Parts: sequence; C-alpha cells; structure tokens
Amino acid sequence: MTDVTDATAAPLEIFCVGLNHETSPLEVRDALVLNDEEVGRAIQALKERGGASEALVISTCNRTEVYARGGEIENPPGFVAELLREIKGMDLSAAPARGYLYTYREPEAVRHLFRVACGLDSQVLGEPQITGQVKDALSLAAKAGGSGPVIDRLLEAAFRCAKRARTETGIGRGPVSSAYAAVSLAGKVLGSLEEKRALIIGAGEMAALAACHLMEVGVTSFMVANRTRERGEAFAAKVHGRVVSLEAIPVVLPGADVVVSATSSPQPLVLEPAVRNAMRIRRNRPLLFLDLAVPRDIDPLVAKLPNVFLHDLDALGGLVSQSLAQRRAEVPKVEAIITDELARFLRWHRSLAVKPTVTAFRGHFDRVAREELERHRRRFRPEDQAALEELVHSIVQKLLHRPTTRLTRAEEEGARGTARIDAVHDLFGIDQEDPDADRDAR
Amino acid sequence: MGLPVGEAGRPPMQPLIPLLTTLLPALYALSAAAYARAYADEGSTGGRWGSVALRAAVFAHLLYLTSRGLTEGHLPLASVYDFLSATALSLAAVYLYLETRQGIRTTGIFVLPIVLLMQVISSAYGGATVLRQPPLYPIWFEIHTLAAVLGYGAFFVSAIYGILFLGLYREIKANRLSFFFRRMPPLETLGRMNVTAASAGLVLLALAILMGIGWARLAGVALLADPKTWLTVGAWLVLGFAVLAYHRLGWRGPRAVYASLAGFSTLLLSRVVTDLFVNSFHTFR
Repeated sequence: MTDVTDATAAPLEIFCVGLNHETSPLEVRDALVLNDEEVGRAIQALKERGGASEALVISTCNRTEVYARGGEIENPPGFVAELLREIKGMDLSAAPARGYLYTYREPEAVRHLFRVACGLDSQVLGEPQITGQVKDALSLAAKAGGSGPVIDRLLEAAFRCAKRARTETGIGRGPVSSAYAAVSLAGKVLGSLEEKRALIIGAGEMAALAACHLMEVGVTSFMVANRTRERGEAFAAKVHGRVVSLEAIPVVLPGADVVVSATSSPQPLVLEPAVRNAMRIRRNRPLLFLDLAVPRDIDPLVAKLPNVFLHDLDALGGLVSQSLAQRRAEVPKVEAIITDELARFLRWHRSLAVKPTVTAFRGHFDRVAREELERHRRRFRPEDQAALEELVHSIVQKLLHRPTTRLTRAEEEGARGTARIDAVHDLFGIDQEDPDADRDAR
Repeated sequence: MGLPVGEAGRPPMQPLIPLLTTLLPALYALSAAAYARAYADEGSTGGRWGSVALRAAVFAHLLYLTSRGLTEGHLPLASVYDFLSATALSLAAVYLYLETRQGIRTTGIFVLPIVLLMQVISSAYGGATVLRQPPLYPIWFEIHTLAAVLGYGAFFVSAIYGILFLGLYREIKANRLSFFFRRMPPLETLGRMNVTAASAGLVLLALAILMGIGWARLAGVALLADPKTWLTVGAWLVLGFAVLAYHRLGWRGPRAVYASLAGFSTLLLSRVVTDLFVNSFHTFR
C-alpha cells in the first residue's frame, strides 16, 4: 500500500477507538449501541473532560466507534472504555473485554473511517446502509457540538470515497442475502417488477424480508397466504396486500407473477397440477417461484413446466456466494480509492498549517497588486513609477495587517482557528496544493 | 440517374470510397472490441465507447453507400458483396435502435462480430459494380431491394436475441447462474427485443414483397415462377404468426422464440436456395 503520510506534516491529532463484529461478540455490541441522547453525552464528555475540539460517534448494531480530534487524552482506549462504562454500565477494562477495543491514530484513523464508509469493514462486505449511518452520526455530532472543520471535511471525504467505491468498482454489486438474491432473480426473469403481482406464502421473518425487497423494487400488489389468519392479516397490512387462506392458493395462483414461499410446513403447499392449471389460465406467461423454506414448500415437479421458474435456497445460496466472491475481488480497487482520498485529505490538512497559509495569502495579494501595477504602469509618467509602487505596496500592507495578525493567532484557537484558515483558503481561492506553500511549511 | 460531377469530371464523393472501404471494418472492429470489454467487465465504460464507435460506423457506412450510389449511378446492391455490406449496415442500425430503446449494451458483443465479418468480406472482395442492364422502373425496384435488405437485418437481429433468450432461459431453468446469466438483460427484455426486431422486419419485408409484386407487374416479370417468391412469402407468414402470437395470443417464452427462429430459418433458406440451387432473377451474378 502506498504510504501517503508525511512525517514533516502537522499532526492530525485524530484517534478512533471502537469495537465491531470482528472484535466483539453480538451481545456486547448489542449492549453498547448508543441512542441519540447517549451519543450526545459521549460527545460532550469528549469535549469537556477530554478537551477534544471535535468528536464523532458512530453507533450501529455492528459497531460503536468514537472519533476525536485535539485535546489531551493520553490513553484514548482507557478514556473511551471509561466513557462506555459510565453511559452503558459495561466494563471493558478487564480481560477478555479489554481486547474488544481497537485504536487507530492519525492517518490510520482516517483510513479506517474511509473503510467503514465504503463498507469494507462491514459484516456484509460492501453493504450500502453504513454510509447512511455515518451520515446520521455526522448529523448527531453537529447537534451535540462535536463537528468542526476537520471532522466535517473528513466526513465529506469519506462520503466521496464511498460514492467513488460504488460507482468505480463492483463492491456493491450483486445480491448478498438469500432474500435479496430471490428478488434479483425475479428481476432477471420478469424485467421490471413494477406492474407485477406477488403472492407471499408465510408471514415469518424470511417472507417479510423478501416482501420488503420486492416493495423496494416497485411491487405494489401483494397477496399473503398464511396458516394463521391473524398473523397473515397483520403482515398483509404492512405490505398493503390482501390475505388469503392456504387452501385458496390454487385459486389466486394464476394472478401472481412471483410466488415467495417461506413456511415451516412439512409438506409442499403448491403442487404441480395447481401450477399447470394456473399456467393455462395465465396463457403461459412466466411464473417465478422462490422457495425459501426448508423443507421445500413448492413441488419440484413444477420446474418442468414451460415458463415456470423454481428456485430454492440452494440456488439462491449459489447466487449469494458468487456475489460475495465478486465483491471480495473488488476490495483492492476500493483500497486504492481510499489511499487516493486519504492522500487528498492529508494534502488539505497540510494546507491548514498557519505559516504556509499566511505566506500563500500574502503572496496572493502581492501577485494581484503586481499584475494590476503592470497593467496600468504606462498611464503614469516614469518619474512617478517609484511613488506608485510604494503607494500600492503600502495599501496592500495596511489591508493585510489585521488578517495576518488574526491568522497567526489561529493556531492557539483550536477548531475556531482551523475554521478561519479554511475560510481564507476558500474565500481567496488559495491553492491548497500550492507547492510553494507546501515548501514554506517545511 | 443524373450524377453531380466534380471539377475533374468525376463525382465529388468518389475519393471518399477507398478511405471508407478501409475505415468501415476498422470502426466496426473498434466497436466490437469495446462491446466485448463491456460484456467482460461490468464496471467498464466499454459499452459507451462501443456505442459511440458504432454510431460513427453507421454514419460512415451511410456515407459510403451514398458515395457508391452517386459514383456508380445505381443502388450499390448489385453483387453478393454489396448485399453483405448493406445487410451489415442494416444489422448495425437495428441493433443501435434496440440498444438506445432498451438502454442495454451488454449484448453488442453478440451482434457486432457478425457485422464486422460481413463488412470485412465486402471490403476485401467487393468493389464498384456496373449494371449490364439497368432495371426498368428503378424506383419500385430500389425500394423493394432496400426494404428487403433492411428486413433481413432486422430478422437477423431478432434471431440473435432469440438465441440469447433460449440460452438464458435454459440457464435459469437449470439453476446454472453463470457469467452469461449475470451479464444478460432480463429474460423478458430479451424476448421483447426479439419480437421488436421481428416486427420491424415483418413491416419491411411486407413493403419489399408489395414493391416486388408491383415492380414485377410493371416490368412483366413472371414472379410466381420464382421459388424465391414462395419461400419469402412463406417465411413472412411464419414470422407474422410469431409476432401475432406474441401480441394477440400472449405467447411468451421459448415457444414464441422458436416460432420467430423458424421464420428466420425459412428466410435464410430462401436466400441460400436462390443463390446456390435454382435459377432465379433474385440470384446475384
């Protein structure tokens, strides 16, 4: 991996302490999920007790991570463990819990955040929900006073990184769960699912997940067949569908384009004669069965009928494995994007150093003054040239005196000072990658 | 046909012909390579480049045929090589239309190599043609010929999508979810592309048949004595049934595709029989 860090650059003063699905068991992660109010308390503590100038907390079912910048926290994992003990009452200081926490400092903390945003650190490789969760974390940090110029810019870079990973690589392609694979397969057979009708047999978790994915891709017409009518009605209400009994399946089958079945019935619920009859009524239009049940709900003989497609968990599992293998192959491309964005972020951070900013800022004004002098020089007599130059120089010096003084003090003012430097770069269009400014900084 | 004449007494577009004869295979090859990349790599921009190259190729091809027509004073469809070149253009144009309409670029690799092969043969062995005897009533004759060639192209594309449909259908039925499965558009889309191209071909072939009948009556040609006529009308009826069954009888899946493939096979047979085995005025000489 390319080393993008620069030993001569000013320290980022960022650390990340957290735990995730790889370092801790589910019950620990569950117990440490922070709600919005608890995130606010954590950020306040980091700022007030730890002296951090900026802080961010990402807390999902698979990770709880604390990012902080500045301050005098000498032992970040100890500080964060104590914070979590206070808020959630869980002691992470003793073994084996001590090993649950990981710590990243400086550029590695930034790289870790980028990996999280891109889904490389997720349980399901490349899953897209994490980007939204990081956005929520930023919004909570802003409410709790934890955000600032560096964290804001860091998150902006993380979102750009995630977007690039999704558009420039295949890290998000292909289904990675059986329910989603089932829906992808439906799309592969039937094309657009917007006008299609679905029959869901069962009202359990798997059926609900598949129905949810079908709704996401535009299916609006649902029928729900379930053994327990009350449960079926509750589920049908969620998908705005109508409920039918299991016995009515042969009657409603001709009206369905996709049948998802996920019950625990010991016998098949859909038999070949019923499907043959349904195909005759629907004039042989394609009919897709997605059998997510074990043992199977759909008679395997239906697969022999023309234009009837039957896929069970084994077939869908194959599709999921393929997608995961493809995603794993895309990881090096995503890592390259992360390295690129990290280098870009660090260049920006370097440009925030006071001395090169002042040099670039003054240089910008001097350059404009020189250019204008040259443009108008011919309008003045030769004997007036020296006085003219002195006049312009004096005006520029006077104009720059106060901004220069304020900029020089920025280093002592923490996040406020950083914001000021950033504003100067932005307002005057000072090139953040100006090689001269960079050289001056060293 | 009165030809516009350049300064040196030759048609102004004549110098373009040798250049376009070489350029056309190159552009089609470029397009085929880009489509191959689009098929092999999901994240690549090959499809976009393939499309750009193909548009350029179709434009250059039109320019080439126009130049030939103006230079030679007749529709450049007088030899089997001309027929190949015009069919290649028709295939490319119909594919481009479907690609634009469906927004799918992963199937170009199955069409462009055929286009490329036809154009390479035409560019390598074809050339300017002189009609021994210009046809009577040329407008009727030329519309008949043009419509027939465009129709052939459309049916060819329809057959390609039909074969792709059957391949994907079998993969899905057998739960063999291979690379081909991943790269193909939905089955329903392939079926629609198959029937859309066949419908276009049907209209064009109907026009060709009508213009042919009209021309034969005017020119006093015994049309009914030519087996090509019967085979073509037979193919048109089979293809017409396939399209009708899709739209009116709700035929979907392999049955509809097999019907359209049967029509295309009859059409192909009529061309082969005409050129190789029987004495027909449709035979290229």
